[in-house]
Amino acid sequence: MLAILVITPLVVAALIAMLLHDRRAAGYVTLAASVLSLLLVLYLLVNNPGAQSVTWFSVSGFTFSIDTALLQLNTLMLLLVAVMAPIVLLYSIGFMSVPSERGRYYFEMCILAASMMLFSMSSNFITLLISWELLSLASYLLIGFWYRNERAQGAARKAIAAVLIGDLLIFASMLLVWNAYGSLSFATMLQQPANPEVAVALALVMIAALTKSAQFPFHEWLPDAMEGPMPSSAFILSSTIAKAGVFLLALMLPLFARYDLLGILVIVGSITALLAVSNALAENSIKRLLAYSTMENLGLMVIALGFNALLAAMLLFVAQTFYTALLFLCAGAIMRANDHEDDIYRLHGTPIRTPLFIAMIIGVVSVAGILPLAGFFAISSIGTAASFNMPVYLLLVLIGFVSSLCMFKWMFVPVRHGARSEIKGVYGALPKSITVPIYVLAALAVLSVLAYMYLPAFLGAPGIAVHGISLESAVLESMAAIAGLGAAYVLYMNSKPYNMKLHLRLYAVLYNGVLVNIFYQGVARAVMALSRAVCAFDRALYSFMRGMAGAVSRFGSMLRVMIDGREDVYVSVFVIAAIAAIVLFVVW
Amino acid sequence: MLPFISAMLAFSAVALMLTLVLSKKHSRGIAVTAAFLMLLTTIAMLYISVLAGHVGFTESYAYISSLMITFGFNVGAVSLILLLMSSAVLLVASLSGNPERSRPKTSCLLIELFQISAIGLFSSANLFMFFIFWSIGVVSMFLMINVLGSSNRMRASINFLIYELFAGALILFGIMLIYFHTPLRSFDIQYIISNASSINPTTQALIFLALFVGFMIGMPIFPMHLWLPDAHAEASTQGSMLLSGIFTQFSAFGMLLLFTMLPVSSKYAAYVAALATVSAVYSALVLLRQSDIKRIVAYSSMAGMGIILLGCSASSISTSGALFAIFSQGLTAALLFLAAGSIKHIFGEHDIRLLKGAVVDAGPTVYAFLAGALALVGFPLTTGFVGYLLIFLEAVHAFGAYGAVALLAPLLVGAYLYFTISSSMLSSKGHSDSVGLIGSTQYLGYALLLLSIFLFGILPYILLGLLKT
Repeated sequence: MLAILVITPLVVAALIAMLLHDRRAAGYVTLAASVLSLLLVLYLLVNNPGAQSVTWFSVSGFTFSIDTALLQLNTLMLLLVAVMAPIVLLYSIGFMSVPSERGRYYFEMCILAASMMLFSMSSNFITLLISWELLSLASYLLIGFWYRNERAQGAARKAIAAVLIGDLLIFASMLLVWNAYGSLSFATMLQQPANPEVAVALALVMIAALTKSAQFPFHEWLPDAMEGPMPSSAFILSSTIAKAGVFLLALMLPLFARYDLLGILVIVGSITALLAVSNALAENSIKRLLAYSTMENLGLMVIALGFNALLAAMLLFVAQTFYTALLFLCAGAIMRANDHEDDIYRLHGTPIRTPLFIAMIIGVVSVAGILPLAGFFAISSIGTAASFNMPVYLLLVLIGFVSSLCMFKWMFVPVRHGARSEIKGVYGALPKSITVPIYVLAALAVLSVLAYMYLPAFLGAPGIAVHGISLESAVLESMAAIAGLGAAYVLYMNSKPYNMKLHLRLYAVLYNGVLVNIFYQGVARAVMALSRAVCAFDRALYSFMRGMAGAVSRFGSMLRVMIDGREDVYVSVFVIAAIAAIVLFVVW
Repeated sequence: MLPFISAMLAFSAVALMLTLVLSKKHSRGIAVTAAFLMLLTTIAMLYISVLAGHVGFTESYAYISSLMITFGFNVGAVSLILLLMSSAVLLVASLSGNPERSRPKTSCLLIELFQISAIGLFSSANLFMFFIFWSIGVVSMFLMINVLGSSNRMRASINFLIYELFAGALILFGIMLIYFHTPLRSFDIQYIISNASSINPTTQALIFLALFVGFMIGMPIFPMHLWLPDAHAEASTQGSMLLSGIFTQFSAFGMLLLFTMLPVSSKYAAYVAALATVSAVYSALVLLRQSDIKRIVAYSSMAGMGIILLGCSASSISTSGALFAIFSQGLTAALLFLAAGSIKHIFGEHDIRLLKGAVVDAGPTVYAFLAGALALVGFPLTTGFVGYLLIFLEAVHAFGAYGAVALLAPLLVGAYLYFTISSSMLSSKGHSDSVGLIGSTQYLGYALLLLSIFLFGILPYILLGLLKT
């Protein structure tokens, strides 16, 4: 049953590669498969098959199996992926209008969907590793999808660098866990007594998860991931790759708590969220602004997990899936209407009082954390969980303010006075396959408020979940968000909006992604220097060996020169040798 | 029981003679038929073994009775797996390994000669046979580089020959020592395995050293690897495929035998593992500075050989890990060299930096190369993953966290391959213009190798099940 979920997209991928190629049908078949998956997941929600184990192969008594389970968290993740996939694919049908790119795009999306399905239900390291690496491959391919574009190339390379480190760490931690327990199942890790090796393994898993969820210092790939096609970026950031890291952290949360590793999460999450909002202030690209907002949200989730507040983290997890995807799809529609321009100061926003604009408002209000949408509940819960830690608490309020400011900037600048709406017609002519997914997502973003009511019962894990929102945190958070809205209105909702790029010194401080890149270039340069040294050594070794061979052949030539036909030399050598032999014989 | 091995040797020999006698327009057909027959025979043997539940094909004919040397073959699970790998590689090499279609007669003759060597070596029942077939392999590989190679082939082939002769001398020395120190003076591998413990430890250490260094040269392992880059870069496409796909695996097979035969070898396991790690990481670091596409493949497969040696040095399940990795490495290296050779043929260019946008004109080849690179770094669902998984599990078990240091090698190789492929072949089109065409047999070759890589990567128990019985 669970296998069908994974196999269906793979079959579709094979079908596209062999039969459909770039035909229009590729999109429809993929969409149909994703709807089928959604139905299946809904069925599984009712009839949970429980833990399953399929033996993969066994060698001299050791058995490797593909273990899957549908615990609460797994089901939640699976459901989110299954819901998002058809929406994103429907949007893709309208968005990916260049026929020559179609086959490759849907092929890669199928790989992504299959690996994410497998990932959501993995319950041992083998399954985790397989799906994890498939996810890496999918992100590499999708981010570098427009390979003719140098920037997409660079982005794909950056993503793969972060991701390769993650793959290696997961592999290494699997080795350690196997060594400690002789088993690769997550359940065993919980049951068995604590073990120092496992602590190391868990630290490695944690770093790996941080690489995937774009946390400091591995966060640079995420804004660059925007170089891929818009729907795939929406899928990657809202419900698949970026969320996979957070999901893995949540899955392992009891283990991290047991080995006292949670403190790291709070620190890393705070740094990430802070960097994200500072970059967002300086950013003007409609896509990258959203990317930074996603990064900030991921940082908040990690902070919540660091406080062991699983419920708060999962509330944001659910809410973020819908509003991020919604905003990405809106941005895609806006860019399409503006001929792929992505600078918010230069493009023309949607006319006010259209459904598209209302959808945007829903998304932005939710991200900013304003009552009554889902973002408010999630962010206030995280605030409540953090309330005993004053520095982090204050930081959260600050982040709430800046994030709200940036999101409203994202919305206000394109629709400000003076942005002529001469392209009204273009917005009207957007195909249904683009607008319908946006409306569906807007509805889901509103409905995700219900998560606050139903998630506690669904997760049903007493003891872990810090539930509830304190009045103080709710008020503080709302004030920050509304202050952000006000500031944004003053700064941006006029004919001459404030533009950070014109204030270079401030821009340089806030837009610090460059520094991280310089750091990584330094690392790469160090590795290359080492490689150069090793290469020089290799050449030296080569010449040394040649030198040795030369010495042997010179020795040969020396011997050859002695046999030159001069009898006097031969005779004298013979006499000397004879005398020496006799002397030796006598002395002996 | 049918005499499968003699039959395979016989029809390879017949093919060799037919190629010699008939005109050159038939030679490719003959070579392909011979390799295909070999593949069919190995599949038949596999099928019989799976039905019977165990692998055991033995043949023995009197040869030099006074020295108790027989013309004997013994195919166990290990040999069968390696035969399967070699037959697939040989088939693809003879089918599509010559995109230039240059000197078909000579190349087919050498492939058939090499086929005889591969069949005999992997199924040999005694060390005498092992050495004979090893030497045939060296000769045919030498000629393949020397006669069919590119401009700098003279130096490369002589280099290769000197190293391999040296290795051969050491191996022969080791074999002779074993012969004279076993109670019954025997070359028989099974006999040696059960009686090696009676050899005194000092002699055993000497034997180990001789054989180890010999096989180390052949694999190759740092610091004995210097013949490898030249040989690969200068050999023809077929030559590189067979060299890295099968010939270096001869030595890896020898290593496996060595570690199974001599009890003393477990004493040196830690040193061997350290050397293997150094070799793997070293070659990965050297790789980072390469831009010749064939040298890139050469150094990345050398990193793989380092990890295989790591697997040989650890025990039990990893022995099957090493075996599986050898299987995988053979197929993968052959695929990579085939793709590299085709790219070189299509664009007349082997500097990867100048191959910008190769994907536009040579899509399938570039994707085959990419898939090969994935398999080489142990991507899940390929054979490489299963091999590395088993090797590293056991290495960590045997040597603690140090066993995992060699993971740096696949990391570096993977990073470099992803980076270079994405910034050259998968980028927008540069000055790379296609100057040659490749035939449909090339695509068939990719398909066959990729099919085996993924089939046995997804269903590894087909092969690992053989080991259990």
